[in-house]
Amino acid sequence: MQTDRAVDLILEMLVPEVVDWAQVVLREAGLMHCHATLAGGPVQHATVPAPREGTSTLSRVMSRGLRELSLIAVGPGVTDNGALASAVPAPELRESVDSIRPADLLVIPLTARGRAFGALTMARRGGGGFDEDAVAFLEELAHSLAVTLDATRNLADSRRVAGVLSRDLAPPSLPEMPGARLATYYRVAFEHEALGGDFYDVHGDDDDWTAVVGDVCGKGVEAAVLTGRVRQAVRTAALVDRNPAKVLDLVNRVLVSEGEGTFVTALCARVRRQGEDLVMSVAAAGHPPPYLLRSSGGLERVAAEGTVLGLFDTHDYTETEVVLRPGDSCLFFTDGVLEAPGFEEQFGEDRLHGVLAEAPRSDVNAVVETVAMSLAEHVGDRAHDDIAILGVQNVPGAR
Amino acid sequence: MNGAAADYFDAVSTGDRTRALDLVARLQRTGATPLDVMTEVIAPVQTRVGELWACNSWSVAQEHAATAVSETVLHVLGASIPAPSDLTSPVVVSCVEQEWHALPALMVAEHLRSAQVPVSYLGANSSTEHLVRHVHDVAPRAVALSCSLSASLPRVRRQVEAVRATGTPVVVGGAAFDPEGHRAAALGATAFAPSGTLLPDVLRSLPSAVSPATPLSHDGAEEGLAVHADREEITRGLKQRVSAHCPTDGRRTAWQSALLDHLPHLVGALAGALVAGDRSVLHEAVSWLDGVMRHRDGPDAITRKIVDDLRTMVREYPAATGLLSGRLG
Repeated sequence: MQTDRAVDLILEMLVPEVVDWAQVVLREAGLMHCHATLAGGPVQHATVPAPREGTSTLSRVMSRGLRELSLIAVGPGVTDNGALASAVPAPELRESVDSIRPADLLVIPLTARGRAFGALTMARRGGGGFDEDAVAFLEELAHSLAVTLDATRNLADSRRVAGVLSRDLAPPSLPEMPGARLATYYRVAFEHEALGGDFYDVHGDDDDWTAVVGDVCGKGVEAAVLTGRVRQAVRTAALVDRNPAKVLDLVNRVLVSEGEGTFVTALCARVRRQGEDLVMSVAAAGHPPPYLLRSSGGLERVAAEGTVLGLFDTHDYTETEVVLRPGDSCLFFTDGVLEAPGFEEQFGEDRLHGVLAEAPRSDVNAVVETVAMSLAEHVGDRAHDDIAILGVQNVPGAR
Repeated sequence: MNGAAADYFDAVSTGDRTRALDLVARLQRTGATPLDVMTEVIAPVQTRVGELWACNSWSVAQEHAATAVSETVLHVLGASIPAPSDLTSPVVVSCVEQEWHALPALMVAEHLRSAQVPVSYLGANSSTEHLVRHVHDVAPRAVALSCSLSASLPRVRRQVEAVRATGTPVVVGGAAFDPEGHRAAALGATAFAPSGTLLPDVLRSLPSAVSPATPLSHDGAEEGLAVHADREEITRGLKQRVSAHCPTDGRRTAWQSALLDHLPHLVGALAGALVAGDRSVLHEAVSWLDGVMRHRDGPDAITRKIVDDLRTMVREYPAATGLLSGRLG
């Protein structure tokens, strides 16, 4: 639950069942966020600057951590609002409580982790009053609310930090490559972590670039941290020498030298324009080889194999050359596609082959979407591994 | 169809993205707004594309290719809409999980942007986890959930529950709902938008925070969730029964393959009808299937036979059996 919404719902519970008017004030970075509601009305919101320490009922209640009970005795329409303004700082919210004067006003600090971060202010019409029992009950209630609200605020803070950190680990949005159309699909195993061990990346110059798809062992945020390092290593290696066998060789050396015993599978391709054609050199490291979809309708498997990265001190990566004529597409994917669990069996090579054979050829986006749809239908609500698909289509002259 | 729509149809029917984009750019140069292009050109053509598949003139692959072109065009159109100056929290626009019909949601997103409402667009097939995480991250003023297929209604319920648990209002809309919004209300949505054009008004009427959804209590709701959970098993049994009375000699005819493709939707529509507490969900699915069969020269009364088979499959569910025993289609 978001803090603002949790506060609104709390107020709707308190008014009119418990009190005639209520306000929650939350202090944050020199501001006071105020929510208030009068019986029969909507929750109103206002933000005002926080008062200086000790200059108002609210700040006093918060700094001392002690409740205060007062009587706003003067009748409606009277302009002396000093006492009220001190507890209800936002003028637009003051009007609503003004209308029920004379009233008893109870201000209770919202305290968690030894610090007051706000206050709950409640009013009852004159005569309604707050006796000792009522005050004790409302203090206990305010304490429970404070703990809950604090947890919500704390969660929001953690989410923000995690969001900033994970932005770098999630798959990047791909650049536009002239004359090529790129399509992707990405699904993580641990949805609640939103990060996974599969990755793809595209980088380089307009007419000579690198595409990579890979899978690090493991799932979730730990795996994602490694994908970030591997993607970075591929980028660095490609700057030195864009040939994919050399790139994989360097990345392997980096991973082996780190000696963590984690391994990575990957397909790496160098893509260059030659007239109407896109020429791809493909190197593989323990990864399922890509499919080639001819615009004429043909479907081919690229022969590409090599040792996984990170385990052995080898230099045996080789390159296979593939020519994409106009309209042709090449589809890279991770083994999460093949191993996607179904009602009776895994998605598997045969099913993937069948889906690709039937897929439309005009647009690689439609190809990737067709595969994604069959996968989703096959998997249903079952747990699955990370899945990544990257499609590259040769579209000379495409923007 | 008007002239521009006819030209646009030619472009998407050949999967020609460049031609479609050029055409739209030309329309915009001559004064058409993004909203005009969406409502006058793209929407009618996409309706036509759906019809062409239903009457067996187009293959699924053709339909996908055409729709992929329209999606690109909509994204490009969207980029030409000036960003809202309003910096309040956005509306999250999303398709329910396992819904791949992104176009209606995309159109809704562009409608909202045209109405100067900030939008965070999640696209097709948003899982509940992903949707809720996004709601926590962007703190939207509301979630707009699009659902085109009646088989997805149980998933709408799941996502309505998840979104409401964050206190966020959730508006639903799309072809899976009835125009009066009875299904939307039964599923616990905060509000129903009969069309994308009306959504801005609906958004203005929403509360700032909502309470968690109360459990479904109408007759058959629990059965609906059970049928939804068991849908693959029911579908497999149904497939076996159906294969028994439409024998193929190796090659499937058009109606046979369309029928087998359709069985999961029929089972899903049964679950949807039960969860949304509306038997017409099932009626619509059955008459759609009937139309698909007739256009593909299926045998007489084949739809009726399938419905009887399904009734046998779910015989331990009284409410489901009751629905399937009534007059359908």
